[in-house]
Amino acid sequence: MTNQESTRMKINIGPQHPSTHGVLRLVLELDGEIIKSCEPIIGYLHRGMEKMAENRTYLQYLPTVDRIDYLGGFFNAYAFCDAVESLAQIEVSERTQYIRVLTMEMNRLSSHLLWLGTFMLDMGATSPLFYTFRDREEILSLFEELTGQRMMYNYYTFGGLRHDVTNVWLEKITDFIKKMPRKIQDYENIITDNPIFVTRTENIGIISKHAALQYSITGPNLRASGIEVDYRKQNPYLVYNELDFDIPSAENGDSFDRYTLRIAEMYECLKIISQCVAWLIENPGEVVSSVKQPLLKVPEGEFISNVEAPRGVCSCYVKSDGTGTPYRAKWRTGSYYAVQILPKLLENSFYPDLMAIFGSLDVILPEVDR
Amino acid sequence: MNFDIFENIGEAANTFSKIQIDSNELVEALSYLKNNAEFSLDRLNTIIAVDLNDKFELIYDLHSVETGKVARISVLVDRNSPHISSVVNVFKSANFDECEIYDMFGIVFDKNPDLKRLLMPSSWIGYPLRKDYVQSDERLAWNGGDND
Repeated sequence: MTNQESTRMKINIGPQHPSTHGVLRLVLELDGEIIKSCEPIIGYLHRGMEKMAENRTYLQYLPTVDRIDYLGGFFNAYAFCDAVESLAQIEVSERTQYIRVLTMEMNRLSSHLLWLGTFMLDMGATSPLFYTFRDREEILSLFEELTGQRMMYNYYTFGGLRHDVTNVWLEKITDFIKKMPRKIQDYENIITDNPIFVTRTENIGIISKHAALQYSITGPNLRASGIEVDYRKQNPYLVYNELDFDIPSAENGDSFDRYTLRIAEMYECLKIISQCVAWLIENPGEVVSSVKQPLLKVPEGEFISNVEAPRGVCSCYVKSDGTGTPYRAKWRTGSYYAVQILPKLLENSFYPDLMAIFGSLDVILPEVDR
Repeated sequence: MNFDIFENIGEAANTFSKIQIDSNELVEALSYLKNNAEFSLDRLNTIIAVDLNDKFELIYDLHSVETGKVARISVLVDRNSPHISSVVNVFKSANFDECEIYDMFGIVFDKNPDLKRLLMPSSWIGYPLRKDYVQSDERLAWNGGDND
């Protein structure tokens, strides 16, 4: 055994580890405290989502897609509905579109809140978790009131929604978004200038512009690297082009920038939500689709829908052979590619930085394994 | 290869069309589309594999960060000898995609340095997303087989 080999240590993290956000296994090679190589091993949460599509009708498959990213179920459901609606040329009413935007942005907010809490927890700060879960709980309660479910909503249908929102529910949303900016401000007061947090995240885990594109990084992680790409602006879907909001961006691409960017996105979510609520109160209408859901036959063809989900671009490919069952469904999710860049990010970084880097990427494993 | 077929390539992301090319020209075509400033399709969104019963189809979904335009390049792979060249030298993100397609369809990507089963256990029998995959195979774990 040579000298170099004897000082190196192989260490296995996971699959069950409190801060891997699911079941990710990392095999690290350490030289003292420096990570020399990292191999992510995935597949522990593989449920065969794509195979399931081939054995079910469109309606039977619809509730399962919420489980691909269990913190952003609306985004997956919308991606699938959009693909099917485009193939079958089903019209979607404007009110439906506004409610979809409203629920998705609420969902993005709850997803970012959970990320913020767990990211802080990864780095040893326990209190923020309780604060963010308190706020997230309010969103989940509102969703429960609307859909009957806290996380797996099954609320969208092909061409519409299960049922309409009530004005009472919209007023509750208004109350909620009134107090939210102050709470986000509170988090910023605790975290943004905290010297411990700043030293642990600044200049850590830098993703360059070039690397971000090479590894197909999308969503907040890409925007933190200085590339201002948001599919809500660039390829507007639903009614996003009628709404007024900004795309926050940062430039360094380190863990700290990924944090500030998600905080800025939360404010933008609130902006969009309040515009949607105002529109929905003014414009009543029909949201339940006349499409016969269980008998839906989709004409032959193929389509890819792209949705800007909280963790990057979520694409859903559907190929139909003219029957009531998808011929093939394929999911592309943001976290999958964020896991792939880990070996490059972790190389030659300190072991204690592992969680400051991995946590900032907002990876969620059910979305990786599908 | 003749690059004229790419003349009008690039469309809005909410439409779907694809351009069929020969599998030998894949790497050349992708690096042309990526490096040519006219298209700058610099992000490989994903690779989609479809089992067409007599052959496989691979769809390379290219996106341009600058313009938001997309292009889909389709190649066909022979079912009896499913080999195609890897594109990891053009897009690093292709590695996981190619491993997953190898895992699910058994398509071998030549020159991929790290081709392995990604989601299924390495001892898994068969390729699950092929249309002729038999879920009642007695060698599989849930049917009493002993693979881990």
